[in-house]
Amino acid sequence: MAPGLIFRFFPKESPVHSLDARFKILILVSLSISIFRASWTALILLLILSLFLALLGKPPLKYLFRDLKGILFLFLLIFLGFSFSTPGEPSFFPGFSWQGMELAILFCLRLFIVILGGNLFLSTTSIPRIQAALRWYFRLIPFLPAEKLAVLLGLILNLFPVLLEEYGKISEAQAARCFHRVRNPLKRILATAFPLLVNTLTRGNTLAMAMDSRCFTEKRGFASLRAGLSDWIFGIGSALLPPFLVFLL
Amino acid sequence: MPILETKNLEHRFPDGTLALKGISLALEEGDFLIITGKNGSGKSVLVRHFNGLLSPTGGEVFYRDKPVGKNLLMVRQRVGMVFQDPDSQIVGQTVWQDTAFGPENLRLPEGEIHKRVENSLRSMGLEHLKDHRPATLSGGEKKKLALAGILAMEPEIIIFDEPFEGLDYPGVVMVLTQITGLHQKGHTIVIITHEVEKSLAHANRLLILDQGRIVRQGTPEEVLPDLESFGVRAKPFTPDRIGEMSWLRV
Repeated sequence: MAPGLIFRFFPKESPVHSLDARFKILILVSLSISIFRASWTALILLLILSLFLALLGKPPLKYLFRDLKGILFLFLLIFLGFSFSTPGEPSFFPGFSWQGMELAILFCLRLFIVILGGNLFLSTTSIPRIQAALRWYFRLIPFLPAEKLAVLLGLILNLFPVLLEEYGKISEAQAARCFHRVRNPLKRILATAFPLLVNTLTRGNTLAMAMDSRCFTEKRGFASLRAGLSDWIFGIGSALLPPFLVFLL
Repeated sequence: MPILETKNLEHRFPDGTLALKGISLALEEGDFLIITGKNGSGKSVLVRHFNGLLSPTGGEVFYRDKPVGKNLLMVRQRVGMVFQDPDSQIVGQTVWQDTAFGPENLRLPEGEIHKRVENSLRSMGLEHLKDHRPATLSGGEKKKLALAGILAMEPEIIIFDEPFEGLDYPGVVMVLTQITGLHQKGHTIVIITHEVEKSLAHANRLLILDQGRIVRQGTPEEVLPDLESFGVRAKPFTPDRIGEMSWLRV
C-alpha cells in the first residue's frame, strides 16, 4: 500500500507554494474562524474559494481523493449522530429529523473546508517555512518561548507521516493474517493501537538518536521569510475575504 | 595519536544487562575498520559511544585526546553516523532539506549551508533529485541520502551501521563504491556488519565482538580464520586472496 499523501508537502512551483507562510497561516485561521458563523450562501462561496486555492496549489488530485475516502467514514458518523440526536420534524427516514440532517450537512461541509484548507497549507508549505512563520507569530506574544514552540510543532508535523506509515504497515500485516474477520471492535482497536504505539515510539527513538547525531538543537537556524508586494495583496485579500463574506451574506 | 580511542569502555543498560565490557581500541587516521559479530554482540552499542549518542557506564572514549562526553557538538560534527535504516533517520521533506538538516543545526551562514548541500548531493550523485520527497527514493538512494546528510557536516570519521542491509546487488555496489571513494579521499571508515564478505577486501582492520567483548582484532588476514567460530560467515575468503574478492571487481 502506498503511504497516505494527505497533509504531506509536495515541492512544486505554484502561486500558493511561493506565498509567504505567514500569510498562509493568516488565511487558514481566518477561514477556520469564519466558517463557523457562515450562512449557507457564504459557506458555498467559501467552499468555491477553497477549491480554487486548492487547485492553484497543484495537488496530486488522484491520490488526494483516494486518501479523502478514508475520511468519509468520519463524515458518515457525524451525519448519523446529528440526524439522530437533533430534535425536529421527522424526515423520510425513521428516527432522522430534517433539522438534524441540515445541521449534519452544514457541519460536514465546514469540516471538509477546514480539512481542505489544512491540506492545502501543509502540501504547499515546507516544515522549515512553517516553523519560521510560527516563530514570527509566537514572538509577538511576550514571555512565550517562540523558538522552542516552533521547533516542537515542526517536529510534530514531521512525525505525523511516520504515524501514517506505521499504521499502513500494521494494517497490511494484519490483513495478511485475515484480521478483517475479527468483529470485536475492542479487539480490533487494541490489536492496532498497541503495535502502533510500540512501533511509533521505537521509530521516534531512532529518529531522535539520528537527529542528535546530526547536532540537533532547538536553537537551530530558521528559514528566512520574505514577503513581496504580491504576497501582501494576495495574502491580505484572501485573509479578509472569508470574514467579509460572512458579514455580507 | 589515535583519532578515536576507547579505554576499558563498559556499558550496562538500566535493566542490568552488560552490553560492553573492557573495550579498548584505538582508531588511526585513514583506517578502514570492520566491526563484526553475531546479533546482540554489542556492535551498535559500541559505535554509539564513538559520537556520544550513548554515555559509558565505565571507562572513557576520546576523540583526538579529548573526552567525547565533554565535547559533544564538536565530536558529532567530526564523527558522522549513517544508521541501519535510512527511513528512520531522514527528517527532511525533500532531499535538499534533509541534507541541510545538519548544517542548519550548526547554525552555519545560509551561503555555507547552500555550498555544503550542493557539494554533498553532487558527490552522492543526487543533485537531480534535490526537490524529490525522500519517500520516493529507492533503498540505495535513501542510503546515499543518509550519507549526503552526514557529509554536509564534513566529518573525519564516518560510521556505517549495516550499510548493505536490505540492498540488492547493484545497491550494494553503489553504496560500496561511495564508501571506498570516501576512504580514498581521506575519511576514516568504520563499518559494522555481519556480512563481512561485501567490504572485507577494502578494510585494513577487522574486529570481532562477542557478548560485549573484543575477542579478536587485527588485519583481515590475521582475524579471518577465527570468524566462523564466532558466528560470522567467512566464506568465500581465504586469507591469501582477500584483496581479490572485492565486490567492485568486474
